[in-house]
Amino acid sequence: MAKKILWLVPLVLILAGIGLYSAGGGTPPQQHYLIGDPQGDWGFPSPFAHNPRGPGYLRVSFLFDTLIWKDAKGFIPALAETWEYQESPPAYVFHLRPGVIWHDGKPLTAVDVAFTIDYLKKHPHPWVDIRPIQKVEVLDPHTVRLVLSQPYAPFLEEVAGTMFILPRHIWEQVQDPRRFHDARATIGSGPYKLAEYRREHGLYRFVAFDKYYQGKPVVPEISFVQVGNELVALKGKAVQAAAVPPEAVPELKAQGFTVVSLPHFWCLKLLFNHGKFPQQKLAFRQALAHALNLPELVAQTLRGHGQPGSPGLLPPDSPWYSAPQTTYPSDPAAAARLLASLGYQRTPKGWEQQGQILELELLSGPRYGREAEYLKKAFQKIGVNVRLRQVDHSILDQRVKTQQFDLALSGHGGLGGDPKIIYDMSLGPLAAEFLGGYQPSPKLAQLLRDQLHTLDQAERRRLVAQIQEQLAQELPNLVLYYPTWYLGHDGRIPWFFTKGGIAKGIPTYFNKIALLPKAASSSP
Amino acid sequence: MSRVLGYLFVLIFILGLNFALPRLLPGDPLTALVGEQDLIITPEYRQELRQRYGLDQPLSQQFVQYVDHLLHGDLGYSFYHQAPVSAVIGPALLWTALLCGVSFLLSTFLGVWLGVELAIQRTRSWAAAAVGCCLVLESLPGFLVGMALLLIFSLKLGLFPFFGALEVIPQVSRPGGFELDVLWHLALPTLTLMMAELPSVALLVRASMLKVLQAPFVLAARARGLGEARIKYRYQARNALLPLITRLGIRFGILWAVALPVEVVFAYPGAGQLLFQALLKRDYPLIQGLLLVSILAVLAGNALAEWGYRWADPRIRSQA
Repeated sequence: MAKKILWLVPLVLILAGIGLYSAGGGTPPQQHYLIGDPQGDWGFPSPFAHNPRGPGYLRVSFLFDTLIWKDAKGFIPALAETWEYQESPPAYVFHLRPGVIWHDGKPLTAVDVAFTIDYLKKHPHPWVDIRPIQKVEVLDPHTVRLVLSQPYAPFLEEVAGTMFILPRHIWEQVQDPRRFHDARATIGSGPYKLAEYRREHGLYRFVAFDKYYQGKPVVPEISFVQVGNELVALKGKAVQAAAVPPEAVPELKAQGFTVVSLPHFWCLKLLFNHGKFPQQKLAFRQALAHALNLPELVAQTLRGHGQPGSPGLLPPDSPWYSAPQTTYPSDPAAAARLLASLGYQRTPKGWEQQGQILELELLSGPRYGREAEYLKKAFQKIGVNVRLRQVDHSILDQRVKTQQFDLALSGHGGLGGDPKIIYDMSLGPLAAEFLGGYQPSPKLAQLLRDQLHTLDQAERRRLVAQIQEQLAQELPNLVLYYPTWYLGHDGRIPWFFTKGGIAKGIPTYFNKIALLPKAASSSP
Repeated sequence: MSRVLGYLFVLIFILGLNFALPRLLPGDPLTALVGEQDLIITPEYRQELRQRYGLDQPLSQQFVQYVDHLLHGDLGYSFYHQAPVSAVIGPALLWTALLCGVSFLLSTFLGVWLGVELAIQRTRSWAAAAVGCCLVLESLPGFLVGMALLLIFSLKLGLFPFFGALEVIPQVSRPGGFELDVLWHLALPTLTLMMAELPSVALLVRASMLKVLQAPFVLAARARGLGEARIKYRYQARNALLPLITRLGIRFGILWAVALPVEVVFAYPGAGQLLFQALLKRDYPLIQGLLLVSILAVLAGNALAEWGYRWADPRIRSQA
């Protein structure tokens, strides 16, 4: 018996050792703030080497500043203290703050701004389209004038509020900026300096820049790090902020965490192949729209954590939203009338035309299996047979681009920013590929072009409302819902949602100015 | 010599397959890279990406470049991570080698010991219960076991870290330094992998042992007056190890792929997770680099298994 008990001694000793060891470090120091992210690596955090998606840009935004930035209410000064628009020729003049320095101590001047634009012409950046800029004039060390080829309404958001200003003294020697992974590639003018980047851990550790022109950030160190399970890591206080699933919200709130929902700037859509009959017919697309009950779809597939889609694309949370007059309430009888108008005849097996029973294939990614099932049932109720096919997202994208599909479920974000997104979605260089070969009507195309060059806000708003109405009428695709996403955090930092999303519309709370002494206290 | 040539032939064949397979996957790597940004990026940037990654070249030229770079020790440039493949997979392989190596060794040694004891003490009630436990553990998916361990030992008891292979906050200093920190982070992922591996090793050894328990050579050993411990391990277990060696040879090559769910649950920065992401992102150079390493690991596993046969079975040695 004593021999058996002896076996327990090492076990107890090991457990005691682990207990002491895990307690040895104590709790993480208050000056450090960790944000958990399951994806991990988003590329080397330089303006050219980061991953082209939003989280890659976001990490670099802690190191580099832009001419202007956004808070919860709209544009605010950043490197430029003030700016003004000149009508003839169309130009923006930016007055830079004096005394701004780079992380290496060298002064930032208008020459750096001019250099950045020149450099981006040679080395395109996925986020900044500088083609509207015709000429750059350095008026004095702190004033720069950007002359445009024509009035360009999205300029402030798309260029001035998104383009990272580069230090000329570093980048003028760099021939291949994508492969420039030197520590100098991270020297910017932002509120933080890069202390550590570990690709395999998805770790980006930033330390506050003491001489930041808007004051030293209130959190001395902030990091993004890869976590396996965001919710478990947050509940265990291993991280201080992370995205959390909707079902965990009540429990987290009960435990004292601050949980906030994000505005609905991402949508899931039903795409139609416009190269095939009957999807190319408006009546058919309208029939499918009438077959669906979008509030019920949200209730069943998202457990209510979302908003039903608007046929005008923009969500009600968008500052540019205008409710279209044309709507598609659930109405099976109307759907049947529309299908009959296309020459189909109802039979016990479904709708038939020239001896062919109407049957379509619905492609979906693994994440939208429930939505696909719901659609299949809803369409079957009006007699339209649907075969489901689940493929991974890359395959789905490829098949949509090559128009090898009937119907597909796909989504995208960017709905909170400038309404240029509607132009990109409907008339951009790759729009037809993404919308199954859809060609906008001449009226819609004209409206889309006009709003890009209309600087008068009220007039632009009117045009954007007309575009939403036109989209609802033409129904190139059907917006199904805007999901609600949640962020849980310990409440230490007053994170706020940036108007329209960070830069060109990144839907996240992690705006760097929430970490600044002045901005943090004035944020809602 | 012929065996070396055989391995060389397999390697060349597999290099071709390695290049072709990722490209046979449907889906455009640029779309996978930029995601929704694909819609709003400028045509100039898109073209620049195609040129940068050589995707504008014909496939034959891409293959020639791939082999040429490989011969110069260059595994390529990752589309997604925008870094040399060797720099991306290097640290991941080290962490995987540590995780898989430790769990492989522990599960093998403990599994052999447990299998031998389960066979020898097959009539005892604890042995029957242990076999039941092994069957249950073997059927449980790795991520489920990992999640359960994470919830119990990290969230409830606070004994182990939640993610990663190292402490990411440098201010948190614990006694013992780097080595203990690595072991502390390694504990739960290793335990999870062991719980997936050890039962199958133990059951296999037990089944093999049962066949040799009453073998004539065991009777002869007893007649010579050898001790029970020596008979158990030098005679019975050694004879029962041949099927295990075959299995271990195969497992050695694919263990890092088996570790994938464990790496995901604990955010352990290994190569399994990297390959999974690379496949989703259609990151051809990274897929090629990792598959190449995997192939080399499988070949090494086979070579080790062959060596293991010779060690375990003198008859094979004498035939050779």
